[in-house]
Amino acid sequence: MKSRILLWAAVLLLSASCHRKSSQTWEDVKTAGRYMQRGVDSMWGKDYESRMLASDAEFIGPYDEFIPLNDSDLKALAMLGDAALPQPRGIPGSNGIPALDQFYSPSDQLGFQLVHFGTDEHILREKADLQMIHQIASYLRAHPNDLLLIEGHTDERASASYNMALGMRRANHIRQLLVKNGVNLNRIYTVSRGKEQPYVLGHTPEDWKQNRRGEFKIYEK
Amino acid sequence: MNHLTSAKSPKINDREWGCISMNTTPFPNVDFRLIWRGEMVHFILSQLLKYFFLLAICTLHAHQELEVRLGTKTHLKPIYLTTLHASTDTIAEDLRSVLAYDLAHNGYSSIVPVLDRAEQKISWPDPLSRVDSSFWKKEQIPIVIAIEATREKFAATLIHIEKGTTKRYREIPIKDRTAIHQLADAIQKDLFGVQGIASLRILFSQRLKNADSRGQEWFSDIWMSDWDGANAKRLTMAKGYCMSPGFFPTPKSSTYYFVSTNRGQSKIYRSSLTDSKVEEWINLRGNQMLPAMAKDGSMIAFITDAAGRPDLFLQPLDSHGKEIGRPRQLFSAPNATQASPTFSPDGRQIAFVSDKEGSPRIYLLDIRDPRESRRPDPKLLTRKNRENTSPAWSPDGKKLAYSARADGVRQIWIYDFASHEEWQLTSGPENKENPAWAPDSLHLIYNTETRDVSELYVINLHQQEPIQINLGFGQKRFASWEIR
Repeated sequence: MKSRILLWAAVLLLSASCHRKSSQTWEDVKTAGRYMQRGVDSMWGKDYESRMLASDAEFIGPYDEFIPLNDSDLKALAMLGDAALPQPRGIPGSNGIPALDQFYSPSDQLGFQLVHFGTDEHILREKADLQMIHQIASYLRAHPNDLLLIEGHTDERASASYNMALGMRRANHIRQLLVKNGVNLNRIYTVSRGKEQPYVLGHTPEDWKQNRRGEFKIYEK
Repeated sequence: MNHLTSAKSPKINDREWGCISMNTTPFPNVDFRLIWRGEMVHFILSQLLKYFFLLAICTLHAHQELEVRLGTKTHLKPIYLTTLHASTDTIAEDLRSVLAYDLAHNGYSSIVPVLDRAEQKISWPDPLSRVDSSFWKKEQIPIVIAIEATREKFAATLIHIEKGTTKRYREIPIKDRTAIHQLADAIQKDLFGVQGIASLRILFSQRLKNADSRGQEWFSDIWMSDWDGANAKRLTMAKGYCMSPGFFPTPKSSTYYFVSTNRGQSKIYRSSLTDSKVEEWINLRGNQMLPAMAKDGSMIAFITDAAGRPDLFLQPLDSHGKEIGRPRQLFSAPNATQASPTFSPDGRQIAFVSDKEGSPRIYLLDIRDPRESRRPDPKLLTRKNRENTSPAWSPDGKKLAYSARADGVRQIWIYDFASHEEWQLTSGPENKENPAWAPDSLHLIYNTETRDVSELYVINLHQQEPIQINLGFGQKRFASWEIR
């Protein structure tokens, strides 16, 4: 049904554009084609999320700083769940951005808890952890001047170098979830601590579980 | 790989896996008349699947062969290093033991224990005045190094019995321990035609728990020492958090780089041995870590989340190490972690770690312009083990050392580019990681990491017996070698 409506829309668009120049017509055909593709995709259960841009920087992207991969497949895949959200511009501790050591652990009243990951995983799966993300997101929405720092940690089992990268992956995943919950991405910084700063010093599976965590720190402007 | 022998065990017996015996009927005790047509199809399909599955298991196991590699020492040349003639000075004795250590671990020679009868054959004060070749030949000692020391000087004379040549080395000041390493390298060059690595220094990080309750709980600093662990010196400020150091590849460079989280995010810094000025190097948002420089110093690769994921990036550099243009994003994948790049010596490829297909493995990527619309297509390199990390490409380009989990323990493995073989270099119960090659592509340094203990070890492919580098307390990790 949906695709039929879309088909009609495409035909209408095409007929409406007959009075214009051929280049415009071609553009219109392409646009219609993209809508069709989305319609067909949604029938197959593929869902494109749409999101308001939070700032100009988000629209421009960080591409004045580095040359990004020109990989259309990657961009399409990224839309399906793992969006690459550029880090906030600038380096903390310079140009008016507070240094990260000025961020502090939130007071107990805020109720920010650690969130935990599975072994070698970077995705939050526990319901309580996802609820914590919602809670933090709503706090940040209510306090638009606060900045957040996410620390990604791992357990001691994999190699030190790989764990640094895994901690980075975890912190950025939490950041993504918060942005999906409506927090401006330029307010969230991430760091990775790998396995360098364990929460508990034991060597049991329970200790490892406690160490595979995301920690939060805030800064009030 | 003539120093290695490999023995293969016979194939595992197929019968152990209960493969199908063709003498029995495929479907015993089944009355086909009672089966409906639809059920019949289902039944046949399920039977076929079952047999296919069994066959697959049998084939898999039939191909699994045990491979045992044995390191041999047959290629080491015995050297007789004399005692110090007419000197009981402890400093001179120490220098003798340094020379003996260097010559015993260079991968080409071994040191023969001191013999009284041999000592009597050296004619002092001039060891070259009379050489009894027949004695040394009878003792099967092809090379003799006669040493003597005065209060100020240490002198060495090489007598190559096999070739009938001799050489007197320039005297070195007795207080100069580094000059002994240079002497060892010079002797190695004269004997084997290969430049030694004993005079090169190593960089590493040392992690310590803060005994003081104030400040951060752990800190990690960059240190430098000789290859035997002597002359250890801290380079970075105390109580920071620094990791993964490396020397600039310019010959005898005094510049080095490292990663520090002192300012919160992890960033790449560079500094010099001559002045302790530290400067932030790669100007990019987010965190940068796990840097690796190309052999000619024209590029640095690193992992950064500037774009929101742990991606592989590359920054072109000029001859002074200054950035040319913007960094380039080389590889990114959704839901994947990239880590630990290492350059091929020709600078055309990068090997790196990625878990994009499940567990962390090592992939090989051609370096290209990211603006090309062709999708980057890294090739899987390591297939034997599931968890592979910290790859290091040998300077001669022939091998890749990496850490791989085998039987529950991370060991150092070598991938051979010519034969596409992967083989295990180390053994023992401790986890081992962060291998780094010396410029001779023969020696490797790595660290163990088991619970809170990390020690540095040096191993060479000819000897394969790891030697611990004694550096005192703390966790010593991320070692790398000076470039010649």
